[in-house]
Amino acid sequence: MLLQAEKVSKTYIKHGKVIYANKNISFHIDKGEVLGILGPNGAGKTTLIKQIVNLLIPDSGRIFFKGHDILKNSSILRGNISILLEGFKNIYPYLTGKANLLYFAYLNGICGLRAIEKADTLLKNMGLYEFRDMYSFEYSSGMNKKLSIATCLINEPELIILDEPTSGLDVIAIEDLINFINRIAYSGKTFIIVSHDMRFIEKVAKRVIYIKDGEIYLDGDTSQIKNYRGAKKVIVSIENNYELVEFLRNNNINFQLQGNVVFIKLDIMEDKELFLNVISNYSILNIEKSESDFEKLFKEISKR
Amino acid sequence: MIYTLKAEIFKFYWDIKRYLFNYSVGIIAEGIFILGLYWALLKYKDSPEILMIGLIMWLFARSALSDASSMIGEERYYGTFERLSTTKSSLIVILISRIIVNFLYSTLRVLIIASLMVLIFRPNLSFLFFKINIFLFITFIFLIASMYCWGFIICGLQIIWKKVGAIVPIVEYIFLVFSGIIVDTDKIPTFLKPISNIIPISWGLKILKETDLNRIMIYLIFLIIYTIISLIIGLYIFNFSISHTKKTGQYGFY
Repeated sequence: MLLQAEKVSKTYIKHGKVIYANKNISFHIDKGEVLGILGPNGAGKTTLIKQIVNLLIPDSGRIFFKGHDILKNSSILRGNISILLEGFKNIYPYLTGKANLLYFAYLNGICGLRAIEKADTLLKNMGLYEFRDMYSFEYSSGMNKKLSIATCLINEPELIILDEPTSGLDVIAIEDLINFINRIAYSGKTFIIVSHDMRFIEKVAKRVIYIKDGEIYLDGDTSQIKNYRGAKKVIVSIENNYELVEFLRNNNINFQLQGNVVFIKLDIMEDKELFLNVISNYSILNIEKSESDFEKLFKEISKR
Repeated sequence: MIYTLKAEIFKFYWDIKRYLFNYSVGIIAEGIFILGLYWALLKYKDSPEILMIGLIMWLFARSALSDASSMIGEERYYGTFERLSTTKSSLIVILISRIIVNFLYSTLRVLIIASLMVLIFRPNLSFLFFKINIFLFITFIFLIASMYCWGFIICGLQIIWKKVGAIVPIVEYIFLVFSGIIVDTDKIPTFLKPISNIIPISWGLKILKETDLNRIMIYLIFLIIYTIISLIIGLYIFNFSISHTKKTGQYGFY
């Protein structure tokens, strides 16, 4: 077990009001795991990760990193954890891309050729090598984000925490980031990724924690959570048929028509009669289990 | 500590490279101000040499205070304060390394301005040769150390209260006016004397002006105690600010 949080609670006082940011949060993360933390705005996600890296002291509870209580011995974290916080550039604009990486390498005790080699490798992996001598203020926001992630990786920390890493990135940059994180995670690095981008989390995290009102609402494997709702739903592909289309329209059943195929998404428990009607009366081309949409799932949870 | 120092020298090199023009203009502006002030005050001072040394000391004080206030402010602005806190180097070691680098740059800056002052006004510095001894050396060391301790106090306060940076120029000018550089301390009204007594430059100038060895010893001991107390206060404020902001959630906020 790399990190363990035990009943961590944190309150803030704002304008005389007590706000419960985290309530008795307990979870753990194993080495090599990629954990996604999801939740609506103000749920307490950033508060939680700040406590993990000792940038915020909890009111109660304990956090252990490699078995050490970080409130008693915070030096255990230094150089072993990197954090990229949301909303800032996290890098120095008057340094070039490479100089930013070298500065963080030196601060972490990596010097000489080793620092240069590491910086070059990261710049190549991030697709920034040809821009290495440009000042980072000349970078686009996507390049800045990539560079700041690279600065988190320069010292090869055991735990990397990324807060909203996709903000400001376009679709292609997000795809690059997904591949990059998956590649690094494959080599055994541990990640905690906080994001609103549920599709992103779905693609990188093996496990997901959903925080709502400062509490853990859901904690489980990404695939399990997807099946939590999706297992009961099936997509039925049927050969296009005028009667069928009329029937679906008259009964206000949503369907998609693609070429000569009609697709209907059915809940086999709730729409049992309709399901049986369709499979017995029409020419079925295929039946497959529906993948749950992460985004819809968490939207539903947020409303509860 | 060595690798942290290397990191800070590296960062400062890039800072200079990027803002060479601004740094040069800064030295020219400061040079004009100091040379002008020295020129204007020459006829009112019994000892132009002590005026020169006082102004040089003030340049160090100014740099200690303003560098300290910009250190934390800059990190918070770029959002790198939290990033620094998770590196292998502790925050306090990073700040001390940065102070050392800034001190080296300030020394270079002061040397340029002092050389210009000597070349233009040719003050009689022979009295310094009589006083160049262990006392004078210790005085300079503790004087500079005490001013950087003030800088450390400012640094700590800025973690809690980010607007401290805005009042730093006031402190700088209090140092200039009430330390005995411009107005002799014996001409300062009694009710303003306590201000003069808490400025380290005042004690440094008293040592330089004094001829009685016993009194020099007393002033020197006072300066050493003053520096140690400033260091303790600076460290206490810094650690308190870190732990307070970590509790309230204000750590790293800009």
